[in-house]
Amino acid sequence: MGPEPHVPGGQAEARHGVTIPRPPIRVLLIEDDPGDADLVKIVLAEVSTPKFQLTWADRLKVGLESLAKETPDLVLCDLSLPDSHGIETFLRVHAQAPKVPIVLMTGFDDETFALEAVRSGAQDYLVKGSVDGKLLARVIRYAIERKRAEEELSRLASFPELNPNPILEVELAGRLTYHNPAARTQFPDLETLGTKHPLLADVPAIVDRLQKSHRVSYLRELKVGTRVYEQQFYYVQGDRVVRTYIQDVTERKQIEQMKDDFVGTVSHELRTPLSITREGISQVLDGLLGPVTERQTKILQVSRNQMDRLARIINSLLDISKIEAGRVGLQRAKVDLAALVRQVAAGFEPRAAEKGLALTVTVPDGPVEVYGDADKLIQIFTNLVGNAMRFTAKGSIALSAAPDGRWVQCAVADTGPGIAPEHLSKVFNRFQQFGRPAAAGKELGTGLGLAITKGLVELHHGTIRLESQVDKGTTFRFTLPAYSVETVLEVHLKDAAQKAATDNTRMTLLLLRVGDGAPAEPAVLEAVNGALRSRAGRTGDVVVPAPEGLAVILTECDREGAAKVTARVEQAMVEYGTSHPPARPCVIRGATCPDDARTADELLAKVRVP
Amino acid sequence: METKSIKKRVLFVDDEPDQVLLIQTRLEHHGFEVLTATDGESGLQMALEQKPDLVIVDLLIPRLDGLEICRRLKQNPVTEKIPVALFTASATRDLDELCRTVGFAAYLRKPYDAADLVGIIKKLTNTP
Repeated sequence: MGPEPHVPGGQAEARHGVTIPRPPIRVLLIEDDPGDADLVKIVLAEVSTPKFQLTWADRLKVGLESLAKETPDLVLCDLSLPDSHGIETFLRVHAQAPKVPIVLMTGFDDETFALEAVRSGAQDYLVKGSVDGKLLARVIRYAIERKRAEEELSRLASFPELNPNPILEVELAGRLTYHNPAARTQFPDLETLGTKHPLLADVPAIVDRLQKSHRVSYLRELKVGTRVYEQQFYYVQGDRVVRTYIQDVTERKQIEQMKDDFVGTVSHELRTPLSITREGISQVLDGLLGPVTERQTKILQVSRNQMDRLARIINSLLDISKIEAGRVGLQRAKVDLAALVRQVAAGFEPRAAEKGLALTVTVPDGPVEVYGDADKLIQIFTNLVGNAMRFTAKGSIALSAAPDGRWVQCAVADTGPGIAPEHLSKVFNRFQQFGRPAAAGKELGTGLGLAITKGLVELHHGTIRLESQVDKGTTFRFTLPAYSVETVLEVHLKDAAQKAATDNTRMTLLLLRVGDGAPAEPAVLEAVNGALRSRAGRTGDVVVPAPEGLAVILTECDREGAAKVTARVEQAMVEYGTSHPPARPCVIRGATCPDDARTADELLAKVRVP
Repeated sequence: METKSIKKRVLFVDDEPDQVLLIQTRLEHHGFEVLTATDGESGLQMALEQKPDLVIVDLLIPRLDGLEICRRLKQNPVTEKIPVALFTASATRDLDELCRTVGFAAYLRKPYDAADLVGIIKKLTNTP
């Protein structure tokens, strides 16, 4: 039960033993017959609670004048008056005071007028002669209450109705049950296209995910025509409908693009003056222009260090803007992480020795193979170790990497000052420094290293988190995909599924089970690749081995397109078997994103169902 | 006519006079003779006439860009043997690829470290 609404004349409220009387209900009575008016007065006077305060008007004109001056809680109105008759009477009273509930009084003969008036917005009507005090009091109170509820409803309804952003209510199967005026104007084909409309596409799948994950909302970005929209779904568990709110973000996206381009251009333009200034300082420092005193040398070295820092910031800015714009392509290969970690540690050894820090590497004997971009992996470790180095005055920095199923668990731990709990969530933000005192001199940070590191780990489909205790130290833990036939397939599938989601296109996975099921040799992959290019006229697809044979990841390809490609691939396999016996019988299964499944795992599960 | 000096000659083409001044100062300090030009056309002209031991070109210069200067020098039998190095502030272009496809002998990034720069130039000019 919600809180009791305030109703004039309601039960007197008893609180702390003191009874506070409610104000009386103010009723305007419009009635030309003095006898009937008296009767109302008398029956209402009989009622002890609530109290009524009656104002009487014997003509419509007088009633309207009264309404213009003062708003009563209710109007009790006879339809037949000397200066107005029938429904007209109601309409004029209603027009004068649209927010005031109106109860009509009629004779036996004009009940039809009263019914019509109720349909036009009157709260109720009474037939004269059958009225007693209790009934009248109850009718009045109900009328006031009902009018209040109606007002509340229409006020609430005006939120979606007046909202300039499209709002839809959709049944779980995808059928549209409500759309506001903004949706009607911006998407005129919403009703005719139905579930084929991009805004209503995949609703069952989205609801399914919300139900399974017990989440309340889901946000997606999609293109409709030339515009870009963000569509947020809200679902209350157990409900029969899902509500969705749509916002046009085309301009915002354009501005973001301009910002990215701008950062790229600006960093480029900054390099030339930076280069010239740095070289000028260097020439003086290097004595090209004559002897330099010790004090001059010191100051010029500070200047040059800051120039180098500026160069690093510019490079980092470029890196982060490329990562955020999704313009970093990874050159993936099998990489021995054990060797890579040792190499990074060795690079920091001189600095560690200088600071008296112990630098330890814990990796298993033998290689730890990951599937990643070696340069970017070096950057990840270099950023983290550099960061640890900068803030750790004494103790140790420990690097580790250990295989753990399909992932390799990596960590960089320091014994530095740690990060206060309230700052932990902001560590990966740009330009966040938490007043941790950095040593003076060469070790100046850019404030972008950790944001870049996080971006690079996520590009590899890994995750990164940190643990920190003040005065004890900080440990960054992250995962990288272990190298195996399965992870290579998964990583490429994740790339493709993410790209399909971002670009709002479809992609299809074809899984070929070849023979008894063993990863296909490179020559077979090449044969399939060749067939895709020359016979299906396709580029940009990925062909990788799978534990049971091989997988073809078709970008921008729906079910229909995939069916054609499948035929070509099948043909290529047959021909390859003929020219390179033995024959390799294969079974091809396909799954399209997002029609059949959304994530890489789901797509794989789909094509592997026995 | 024999040159009386055995100094290696480097032609530096860049539209930024300050940059030209500094490169010239640095390279002369290391015993090079430095020829300069501030636009592509005069740079190419000077390369054809003077046949230096090394040409260094900025990527974006007026009238004839660094890529075009390199292509023309590589197409001309008289100058095809002269190594051309690219000097650039670009962080977005694949410089390794430019070296392969256009024929640059090396690239130098801005901002540069003087020791690296001099090292590369000495190597390209076979200077001990």
